[in-house]
Amino acid sequence: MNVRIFRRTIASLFLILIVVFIFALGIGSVRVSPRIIVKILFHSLGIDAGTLPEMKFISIILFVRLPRVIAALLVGASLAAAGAATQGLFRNPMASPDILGISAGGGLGAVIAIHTGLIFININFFPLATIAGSLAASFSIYAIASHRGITSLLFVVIAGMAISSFLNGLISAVLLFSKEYEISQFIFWTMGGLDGIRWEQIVLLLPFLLPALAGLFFFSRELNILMLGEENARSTGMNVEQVKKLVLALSGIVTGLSVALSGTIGFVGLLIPHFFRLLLGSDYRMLMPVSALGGAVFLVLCDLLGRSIMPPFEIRVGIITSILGAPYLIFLILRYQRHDVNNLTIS
Amino acid sequence: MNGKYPDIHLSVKNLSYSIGKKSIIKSLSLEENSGELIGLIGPNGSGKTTLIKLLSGIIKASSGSVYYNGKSLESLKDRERARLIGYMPQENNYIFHLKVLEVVLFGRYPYKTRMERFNRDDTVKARRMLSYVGLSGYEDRYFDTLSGGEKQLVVFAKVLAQEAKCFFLDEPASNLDISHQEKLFSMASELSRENKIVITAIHNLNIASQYCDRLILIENGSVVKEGNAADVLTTEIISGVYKVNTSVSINTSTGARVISVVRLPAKKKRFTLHLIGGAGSAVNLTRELLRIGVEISGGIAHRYDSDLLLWDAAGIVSYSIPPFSRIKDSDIESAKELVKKADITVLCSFPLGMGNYKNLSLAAEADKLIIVENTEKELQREFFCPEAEKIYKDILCHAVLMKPDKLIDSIREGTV
Repeated sequence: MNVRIFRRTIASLFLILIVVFIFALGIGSVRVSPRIIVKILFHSLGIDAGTLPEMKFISIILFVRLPRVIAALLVGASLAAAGAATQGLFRNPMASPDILGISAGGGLGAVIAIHTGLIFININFFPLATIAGSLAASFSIYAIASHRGITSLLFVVIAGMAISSFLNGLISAVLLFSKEYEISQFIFWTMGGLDGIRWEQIVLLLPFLLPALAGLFFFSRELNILMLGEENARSTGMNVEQVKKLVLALSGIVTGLSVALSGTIGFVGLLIPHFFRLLLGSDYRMLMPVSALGGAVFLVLCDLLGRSIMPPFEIRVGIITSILGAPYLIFLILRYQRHDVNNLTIS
Repeated sequence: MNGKYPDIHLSVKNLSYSIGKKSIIKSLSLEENSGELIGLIGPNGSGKTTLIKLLSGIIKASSGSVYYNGKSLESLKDRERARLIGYMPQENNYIFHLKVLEVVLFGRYPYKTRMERFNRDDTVKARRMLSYVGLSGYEDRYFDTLSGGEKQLVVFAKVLAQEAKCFFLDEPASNLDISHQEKLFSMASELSRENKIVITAIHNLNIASQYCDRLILIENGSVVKEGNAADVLTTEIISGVYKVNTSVSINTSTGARVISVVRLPAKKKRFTLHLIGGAGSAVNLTRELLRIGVEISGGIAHRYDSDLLLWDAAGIVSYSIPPFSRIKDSDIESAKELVKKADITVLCSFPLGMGNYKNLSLAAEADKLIIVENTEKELQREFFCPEAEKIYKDILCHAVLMKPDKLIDSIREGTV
């Protein structure tokens, strides 16, 4: 492991995250300077930071923008970490939660929970429904693509695409047949969005999200060994099927929870791990934390862009990730073709 | 057997493995002891890879069991199994950007608990294994920059780092050039000398014969023959199992058995030809004639003569006498049958002396005799006794003199 590069990358990502974070809080229909943002943040932590702006500003920052930016950060980190894990698990750079339909599973869980009225019985059913949807999707892929303990690298993506479009179809169907159908809802569950996120939502999810995310990190060594193929992994004493199930379960939970916050956001899980794999190599001990941090930066940045391109209108964060993500992926492919590197085929 | 290293016994009982209705391994039983390099041979699709995987616990048997020192494979936990058994798959050409030393360290995984990290001791062991396979200095190179053969050796070092007692290698040298192949098999051999069980699947019979102490030949998921190379690699067994005509000879420099495929000749012009050879004079002619598809018999030759070695390897009927002995009249009587049966008898171009001049008398028995001389001049060959020269001149009267290539051409054209 190239520890020096790893530390440097982590440090720079942290710095960038802090800067982006402060800007994301300050920019919007009401502009607040970074200096005042810092003051407000210190104040909210109970540290005396001198004179404060009007209460109106403070509540916009602390109760509208802060939860939104925190949500962006959490969702970005979750999707990128889950993406890195599933790509590693299936040794396939396409195998991210959005391509495989794990996100769509969460989305279906969400719309069912909303339109059957399940969430009105107990709000806790909402994250449980998205988790259930994501888990169902990930284990369907595993069941379809694994035969006799060997997971076919090609069938994973094909099965995932089939499941993804099937589930998206079901989401549309549920939304169409629901009484209060709105186009905005349809857009939210297929493209995702971060507007209107409240602290309660974050507090509801955090006790599940953080342990699951941390759990994924503990499988870095197994993901490394899996790069040598399942047979070599098994021969080194790894319980490959158990590792696959656990990593899939954790990825499903993490993805399901981020869907509960932001709807289904594409390209983060696909792109971010890939970007850092090309930058740092394939070592998952570096890749997992760096992807999570990078995903957080990326999504906060995308949300910031969506809010600041043509205010007061907002462009949904899922649209921004697609518009930025797809061309970037093509750029990477072209660049690495020119350098005659096959890193894109097998990670 | 060896005080330093305890014996290990592998016992396979009625092992079966099937995919759907197709059974790949059929109620196979084996008993193997440590200390020998065991080669698993057999045609493509005979079940070599499947058997290797079953023995390593990579796949689970449909029925039957594998026991190590009486302990069944299924009763072992994953990490326990990995500390006992090292397995190397055939294909290791993966592309990922990770340092070579990290890959070798994977072999230390079964010695670590979930949260335990690799420590200094593991690194030292990994480095040692890397230098053992001849890749010291490769520690910080990246796996995806290595050649196929180097990747294979890195994975072998990883297997060695597991410090197992049994090793199962599936075609370990299929990607390697001959020098790396030699290195890998001599390492495998050393492992077996450390009283470990080493079984390697090899499709190349010549390599198997060169390196392995024992061979297990399997066909359609069952053991056909087990034993040393001399027992297993016979023309009869190999031709039967592989469904091609083979010839088995001995490599003169290594002493290993060499198996070559003999192309089955087109069977149209079937006439028989008796070759009287000696001192290797019939070797080229025999090969050419086999290629054309002429049925050959041979003799009288001295044993260990290269003519006789080739005839034996190609399964040609011949008559032979002990080395350096003289041909007796009784020998001629016996060999005459072959000459009488043949349509044509060919006297090859070899020097004549006391030991073999009576071959000329044998030639005299032939209905049609062709004498092969490398030049078309008579009496070019050497005579080491006066009797030989006399008989030679006698039989020359009713024989045809030919150069070898002329003989082949005329047989091909059917003008003989």
